[in-house]
Amino acid sequence: MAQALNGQLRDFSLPDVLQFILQQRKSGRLTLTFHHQRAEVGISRGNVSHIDVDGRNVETVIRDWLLSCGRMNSEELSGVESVSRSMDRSILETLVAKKFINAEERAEWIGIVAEDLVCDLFQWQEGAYEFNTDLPATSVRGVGINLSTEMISMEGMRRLDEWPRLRDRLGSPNVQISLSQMPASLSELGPESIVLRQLELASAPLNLEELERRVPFGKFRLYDTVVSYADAGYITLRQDGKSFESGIHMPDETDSSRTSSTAFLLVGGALLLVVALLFNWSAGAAIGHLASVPERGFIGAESRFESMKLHTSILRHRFLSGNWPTSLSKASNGLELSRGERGSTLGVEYGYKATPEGYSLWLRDPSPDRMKTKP
Amino acid sequence: MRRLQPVLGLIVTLAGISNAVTLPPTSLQAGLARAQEQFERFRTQSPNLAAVLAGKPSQSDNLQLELFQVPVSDSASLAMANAAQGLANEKAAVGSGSASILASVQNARNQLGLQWLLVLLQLQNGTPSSFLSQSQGLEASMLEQGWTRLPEVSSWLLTNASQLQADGQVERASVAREVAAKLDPVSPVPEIALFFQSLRAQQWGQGYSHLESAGLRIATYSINQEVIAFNSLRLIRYALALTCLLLLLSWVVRYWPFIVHGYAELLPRDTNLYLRYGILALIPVALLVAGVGLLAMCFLTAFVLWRRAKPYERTMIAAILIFVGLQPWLAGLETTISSRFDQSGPESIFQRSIEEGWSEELGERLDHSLSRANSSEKPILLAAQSILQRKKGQYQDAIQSARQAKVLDPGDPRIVQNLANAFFLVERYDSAAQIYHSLLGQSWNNGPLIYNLGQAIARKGRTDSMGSLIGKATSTARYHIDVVADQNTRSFRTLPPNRTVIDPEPTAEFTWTRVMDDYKSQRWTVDRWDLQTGMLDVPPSMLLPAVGALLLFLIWWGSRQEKRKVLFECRTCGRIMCRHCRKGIHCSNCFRRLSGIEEVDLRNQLLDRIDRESNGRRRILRLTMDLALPGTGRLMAAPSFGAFLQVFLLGTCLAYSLNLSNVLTLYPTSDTLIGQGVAAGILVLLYALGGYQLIRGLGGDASHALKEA
Repeated sequence: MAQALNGQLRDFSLPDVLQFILQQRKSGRLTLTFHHQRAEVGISRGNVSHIDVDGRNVETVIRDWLLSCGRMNSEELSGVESVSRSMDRSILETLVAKKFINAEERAEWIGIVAEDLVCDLFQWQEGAYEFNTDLPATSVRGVGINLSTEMISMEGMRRLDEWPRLRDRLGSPNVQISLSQMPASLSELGPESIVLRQLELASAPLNLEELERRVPFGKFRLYDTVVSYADAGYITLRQDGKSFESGIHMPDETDSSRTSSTAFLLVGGALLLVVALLFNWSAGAAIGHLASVPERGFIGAESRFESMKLHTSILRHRFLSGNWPTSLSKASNGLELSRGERGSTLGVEYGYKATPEGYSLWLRDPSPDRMKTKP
Repeated sequence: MRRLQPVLGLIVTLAGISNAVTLPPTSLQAGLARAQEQFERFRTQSPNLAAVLAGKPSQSDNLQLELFQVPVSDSASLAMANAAQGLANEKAAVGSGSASILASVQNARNQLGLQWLLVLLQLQNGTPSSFLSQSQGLEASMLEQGWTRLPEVSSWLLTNASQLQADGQVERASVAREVAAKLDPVSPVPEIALFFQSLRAQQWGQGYSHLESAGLRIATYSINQEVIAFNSLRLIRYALALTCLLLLLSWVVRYWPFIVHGYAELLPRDTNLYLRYGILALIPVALLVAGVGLLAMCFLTAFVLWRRAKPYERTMIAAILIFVGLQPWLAGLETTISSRFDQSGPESIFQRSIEEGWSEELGERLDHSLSRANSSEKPILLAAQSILQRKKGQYQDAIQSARQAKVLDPGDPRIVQNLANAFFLVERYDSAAQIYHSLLGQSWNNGPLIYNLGQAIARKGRTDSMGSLIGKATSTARYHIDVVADQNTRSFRTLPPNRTVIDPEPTAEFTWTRVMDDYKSQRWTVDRWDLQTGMLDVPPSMLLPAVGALLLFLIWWGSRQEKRKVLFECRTCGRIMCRHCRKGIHCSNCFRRLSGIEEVDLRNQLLDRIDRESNGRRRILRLTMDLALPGTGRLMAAPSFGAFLQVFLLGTCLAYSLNLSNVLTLYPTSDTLIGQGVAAGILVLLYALGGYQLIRGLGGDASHALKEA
């Protein structure tokens, strides 16, 4: 057999593998195995055309559901199956022909069940995969599945992300679900409205496990539907005899809240910079003064050339204007000094003061010295 | 606030403990300041003469009268009066004022500051000939008193020359530069200024000659080599440091979403994700503002980048960290060289004793240093004391000090040669010649030694010896001797004592051997190693082990598998997303746009559009980076040798233009900043390239991206 692709799911997850096959537009059968579980995904030109997980496929799921919800009995099912075998066609087609379900329902259920089965596979984090191009993409009596791999990957990953949240909101599987009110139109709610119909038919509240048997949904779709119907007020959830909310309602995001959050962020950023500046100013003043400028060593080249230049600049200003400059920046008129040149490369600003007798230039504020000489 | 008060109080107290480090002017600058005060007094005393010097209108009839009224005891006023008279005469007839100017020089013989002022006034308000006469007088006085160079005067004249050139007074500018070269025969800067002047005048031969002189000055005087080495080392260190920082910056921008996405999700999620990224980018900015040094940020950056970095990026980050760890050692070499310029250090004092005549300030500094000197510093300081005593005419004291120095360190040829010089000046030529001979075996590269030996032999009667000695000397030694001989010929008919011998200047080999010895013995501890880690300062000796430990940790940490993948890339737009903000294989943004669209063609169109938009965003970021810091965008998108070169060039030019203007001057004037124009030109070129790349990029696909974004 031609194994086009095989490996472990921990190296390449199922969405990765499906994306790769989609990019190549390949057809064949993707087999996933994990311990005793086995799943087969038929792929036709990159898109999903068949799904079977441990013998459960679209046909068996719909068949079992019809039996469990009482829409047909086992004798009728045997008849349908024998007709399908003899005519070599899908059970679903026979069910439509025998009017157990209508054609629209059939198309809807195929999509829903196939999607749920494939999406459940996304939970497989471990196991092996093997893609075989020699195997047919669909079974002999295919039911006509055609799921976009792109869509199914998106949906599967979304379900993976949202599953913990849903599970937490519903509490335990023993939660009792009862119908509180029927919506005005069930058709607007789509195929998921079957949940409400089943609750209406049931004489007593159902728990999640019982409800799961009565609908052809996967766990995620059922939980998601229950939560949204509970949020909409169609059903009531009870745990140990007490009703509870299915979750905290998220407040609607409004423009004003968005604007205030943005403003909050901007103000926070500005505050951060202001605090940093203040810290720099205070700590820098202390540490800058504490860090003794060594009398020998690093002050050598810097002070020699820098101070000579500064003195030249000050003297030249005096020569040209007749007065001592009032500040170092003014001294630049004498000899051009850039801003960088007016500060020491030691990272400390030079100090300058004009006095009646002349001027003084220093690398540290001389005031502490003066303070010390006071009695 | 009350809790903060004690902290603020402590800070203020600590700030008060520190001492001021005052920076006195050089003795020559102090002399000029005094002369300026004297000139102010002279204005009231002799207004017309002062007006002549200041280039203002005066009553010429009163000049003679005012000159006669100047008290003979007031040498400064007399010098100014004679200079003014000379200036006035020169203006009337060229050559007629030289006698007065010569008299002025005689009056101000011991006041170099005053002579400097008169030279400046002659340049500003006099004629070229009066300026030349005055400056010749200054040169003679300086040499007579034992000075060998006046860099302060020379740099001032160069600045004046630049301004005169700009004002169209080319001849005056040329004379000023020539005088500057004479007053400082050591520094290459005046010769370089003359070289550029010759180029402007298209005098190629002269230009070459000046360039050759500049080269010879560098080769001859080791002080120039030390300054160039110090500046080059610092430039290389800063350039490499800036390049490293630019590399880290480009990687941080590239991996920023990976680094901060988790934190961005903690901020209000109803705001734009990119705004949240921007706000989080303020944290490192704030850390820098708060005073966490750049190198501490390097550690932090290496830490946050490591897991995301590609193998070659990891190698480079490791190299950057090792470079950071080596900073104290690189800075230590800088410190060792820098310490030789330290005004209170023994080497600097010795150098000053050679270059300067005796001054009270230098004498005090020497005494202060001698009182604190250790055994290794004392010999050279005693030699410096001997030189200064000789310059003051105290020859016996000079011999005494020189002997003491030789006893303490007989291995230093400068000290030994100084003793010989002291013998020479008391006419003990045999003793002097014997010592010179003993030293000459070591090197024919020592100009002062060869000159002094020649002089000693000549004084004993063999006048032909100098020629044969000079014949054996190296070119740099010959240049040194030529300079001294030219100065003597120009200024003196009879040599004054200070000009009969040349003081022992260290040769290049000797200087560099000493520098390396000091460095190896770690004599100069690195208290400050620059580019420091700021508030999170690490003791220098601990930095390399800290880097090693960090690297080992990063290698161990980087090799560990992530337990759980927490960040993903959107398959469609490449945006970074986490479990909270992703919707399946898409980010919430793409999911919103793609959900519900099942028609394949429409979906493919939308996918293409999203792809174009994300490519456009990336391109705009890259181009913005290229425009702000040329090369970093290219490096971020597609690393290549060209991109690395561009970033290195940018780092070098920025280091030169932004950080080094203070120390790269070689001289106290800004306009001699070597290659500043070239560095600025390269910077302009790099930014123009960045702009061109932006325009070209915007003209192509990015324009679509801009529209769609």
